[in-house]
Amino acid sequence: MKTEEQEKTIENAQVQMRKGILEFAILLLISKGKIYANDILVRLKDANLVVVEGTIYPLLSRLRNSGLVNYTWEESKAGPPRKYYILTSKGGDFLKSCDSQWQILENAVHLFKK
Amino acid sequence: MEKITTINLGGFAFTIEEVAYHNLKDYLESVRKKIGSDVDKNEVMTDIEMSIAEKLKEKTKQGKNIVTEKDVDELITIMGHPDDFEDSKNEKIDSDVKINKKLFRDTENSILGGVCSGLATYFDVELVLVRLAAFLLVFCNGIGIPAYILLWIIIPAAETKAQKLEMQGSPLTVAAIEKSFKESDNEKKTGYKKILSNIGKIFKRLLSISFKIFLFLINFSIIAATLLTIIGMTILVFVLIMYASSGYAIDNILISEIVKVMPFYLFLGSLFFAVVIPAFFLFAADIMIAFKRKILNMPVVIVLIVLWMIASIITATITIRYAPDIREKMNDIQYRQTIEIPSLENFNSISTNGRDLIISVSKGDKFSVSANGMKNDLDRVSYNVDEEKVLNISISEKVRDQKCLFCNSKIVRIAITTPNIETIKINGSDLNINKIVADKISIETSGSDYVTVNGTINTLDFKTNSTQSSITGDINNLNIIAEDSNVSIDINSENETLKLENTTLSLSGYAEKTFLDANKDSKINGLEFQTYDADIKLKKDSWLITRFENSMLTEIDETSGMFYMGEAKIKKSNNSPFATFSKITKITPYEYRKNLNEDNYFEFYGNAYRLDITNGSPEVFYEKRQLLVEKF
Repeated sequence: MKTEEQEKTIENAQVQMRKGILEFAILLLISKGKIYANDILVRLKDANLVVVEGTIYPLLSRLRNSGLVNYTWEESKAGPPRKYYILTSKGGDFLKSCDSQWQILENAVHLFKK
Repeated sequence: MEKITTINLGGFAFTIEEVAYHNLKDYLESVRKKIGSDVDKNEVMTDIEMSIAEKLKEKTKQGKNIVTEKDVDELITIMGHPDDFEDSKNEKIDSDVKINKKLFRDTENSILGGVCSGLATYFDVELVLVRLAAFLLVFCNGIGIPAYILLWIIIPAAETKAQKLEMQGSPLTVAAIEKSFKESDNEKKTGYKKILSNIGKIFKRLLSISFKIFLFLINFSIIAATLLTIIGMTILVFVLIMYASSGYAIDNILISEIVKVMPFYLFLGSLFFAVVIPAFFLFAADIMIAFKRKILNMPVVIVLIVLWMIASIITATITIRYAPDIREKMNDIQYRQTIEIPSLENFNSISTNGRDLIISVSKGDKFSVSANGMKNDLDRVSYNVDEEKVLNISISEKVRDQKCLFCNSKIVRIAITTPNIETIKINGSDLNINKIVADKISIETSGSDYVTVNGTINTLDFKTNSTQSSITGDINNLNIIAEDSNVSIDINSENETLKLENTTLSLSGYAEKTFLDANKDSKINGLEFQTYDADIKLKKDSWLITRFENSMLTEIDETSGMFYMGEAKIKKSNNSPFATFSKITKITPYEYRKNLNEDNYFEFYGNAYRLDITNGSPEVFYEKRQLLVEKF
């Protein structure tokens, strides 16, 4: 049986890892073409990267403020107008650098796991 | 049952339970604090709200109309605890700490409504002490109970997380709210607390229902009163216009007469609007308040106000200008006046007919008849003296040749003076004979309310079934036949012959000889009466109490009885073996007390006496006395 504290430590590590990778994952999704926040969530959930939805909105907002992504408003049949996110050229550059960083990390993890 | 409210979320309207609303609001508030450092947090909040709106929209599409507490809990699970919003880049911000303790009822630590626990938390006192104080207050003239109920009503319960924290005086921080979110998952109201909270809700609901009923009654009476005014006024005006040229009269004044002296139609029209428009405004205002429905617009209101002002001015002007004329007209008709009726002479009998007459007869040297009343009523009376020397007076029930609106017939007083009178026959009219001197008079009244006879008369034959008759004076021989009436006699006489059926007689004065034949539930109070020789017959529940001094012959049946004073020798007839006789030795006036249940207490005509009796068994007396008390 794990103690509560152990559980918390593990949970915390997982959260930190997810958070680190979340930005990268979202930028990857947006880079595939314009996408709506809810669809991003669905993809992230499918990939088990995110459990709760609320967190994504501040993240998207921050990405936009950094000039990495931008959005356009589009009408929706079902509900309120939706924000569709696209990658800026600055975002593209950032994604590339992230990608190379990821390669390094992946290699490192791969290496250490052996 | 939950109270619901409507919210605007992301531009959409949702119907939501109030508790759910507060939870959602608290949640959004704590999220806002978490992302506080973000440059455009408003935008993020909008995004989050819209996302929530979309999810709720989906739920409502599935046929759920009202957002419940459970829905909000689910939403919060999906959206994430406020904790998840914490940005690793941001320092934890708890700078906006508020310590703002507020008084709430603590329903989580309650016995009844959580008033004591709320107070204890608010004033930081031991809960036990507060409860003890409350319990003791119950014994101070019970002051604790209404006080508790009052506080229960006016102090709100801490329902939402934020309220619970405010009650504790805990800083209203995100962390605190989160903590309480986590705690609340484990808390469920226990059965009895649930019942208590339901009782509280029912109580509040009853209050609000009775308040609503009260409001409804007020509204209803205003609407009814104003509608009645409008309808009544309309009917009145229509009726008056319809009958204006007819022979109808209002209160004995012909309408056609009024039409002649004043601008009648203009007056009616303006009076109508002067009364109806304010009533209508009141009506409309009430409808507006009660049903929140606007039924008047500004142009109509202005037109009506102008119309009302014009109508009021016209009404007032006409009233001031023509009131004296109308009053003069009314004076002609409505003032009481006395007229002499000429050429009514040489009669020795009087016969009257009609309830609106009061006849007074007195002795004089000459014949004269005068009448006093209003003109219209005086016109209703007819007079003649026929061949048998009878003066006939009668009054018609209706105003002659005149149909009347709002008329009530009024009394005519007829004063007759005559040197000689033998017979008086009265039907319906009231009769008043005062200080008459005569050898023999025969009076017969029927259906009258009041008949009074006073004078010095040798022989008076009096036959009556009138409600109330009174005979006073010196009358040597009095013969009375009374049926279904109340008679009071206070005379000194030689012979009194009293034949009564279903009659109450109050007998005073004295008589040498008395012949009494009382039948069918007749009661005779002769406490103030004295007689020497008497021949008494009492039948069918008839009772007598009086004083006998010499001899007495009685014939009394078993349903009747008598209490007597004096030294009379009683000869019982063979027909009265079971009758009740009781001799009274002393009569003491007594304080009148209703339903006093005391031996020897005796009531008669609202007077009370204490009777001391020697012979006759007290038990029987008591029993019969009860009978008498009941009867009178």
